[in-house]
Amino acid sequence: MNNELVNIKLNGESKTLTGECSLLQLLQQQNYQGSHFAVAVNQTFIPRTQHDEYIICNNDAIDIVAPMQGG
Amino acid sequence: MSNWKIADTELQSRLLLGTAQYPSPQLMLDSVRASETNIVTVSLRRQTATGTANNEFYELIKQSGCHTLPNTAGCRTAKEAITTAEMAREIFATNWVKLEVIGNDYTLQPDPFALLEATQELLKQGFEVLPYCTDDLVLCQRLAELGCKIIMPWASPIGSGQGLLNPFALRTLRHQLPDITLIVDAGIGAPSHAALAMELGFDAVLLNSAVSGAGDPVLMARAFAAAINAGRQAYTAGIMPKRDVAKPSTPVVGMPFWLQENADA
Repeated sequence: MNNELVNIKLNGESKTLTGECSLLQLLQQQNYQGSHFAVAVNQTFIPRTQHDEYIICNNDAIDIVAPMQGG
Repeated sequence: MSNWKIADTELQSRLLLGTAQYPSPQLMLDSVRASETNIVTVSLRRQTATGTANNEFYELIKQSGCHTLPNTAGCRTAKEAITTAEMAREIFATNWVKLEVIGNDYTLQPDPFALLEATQELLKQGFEVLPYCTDDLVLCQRLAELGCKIIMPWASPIGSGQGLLNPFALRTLRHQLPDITLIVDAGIGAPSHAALAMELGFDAVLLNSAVSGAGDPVLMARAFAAAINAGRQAYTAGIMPKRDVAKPSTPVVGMPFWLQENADA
């Protein structure tokens, strides 16, 4: 089993994951539900259909955004 | 009032309304309804997990029955704006995007070079790009040449409420880009500003702060709806040309008394 530590930034906050983790697994762990959010990794959009196959790498910066008021 | 279109969507109202900075969510919804708009602008921001499938703000927007126009507000590079647009398309299920790439923090002036770069990529990806830009004619021509059907020049800096600082430039855009849908975006402070933009032949007006920052946002939303209708009707009716000298509106033929006396004198 791979227990390597993976350091990431999640919405600007530092987090450390243990072992291989897909983006989908991370979102589930963090309790993101429904379809009202979207994800970018290192400023690149990751479509919902690819959350399962994207494996999080060390130093990834993950941004999760949701609808907000705007002008 | 005649309908107009964004892409293949037919619209009645020529007002696009922002959803930010209202005193309360309910006042936002009431203002949107009072404005009779068909399109509201929305944005995306980082959000921590709520543990729920619902987004309260988005649910409210859905209640309004309006189309959503996601913006890329706050983006400072083409890359940021492109990624934000891609995320917005997934969330809001629309290919419309109000493309903003800010180039100066003091004026919130759009960066024309990054804007062109982002526009080119997003058009390639099938987006309906509504670029927020300055009133520079050559920039707007370049945006049109890239394939934008809609262009949104500012009236004055975002949130300044200064109205149309350069009516000459806006009039020139209307004249030089007759086939482009032109929307004045940003800087509108009063309904008279919106009416003037419409009188110049602009197809629509996008605003936010002028309504959300009013003492009574709902009443102001109604005022803008009326002003935009009035401006559009005036443009369609044909505004009389200006003259340098007076011309009596009352007929002078058959004028009694003094005119005859003067003639006899």
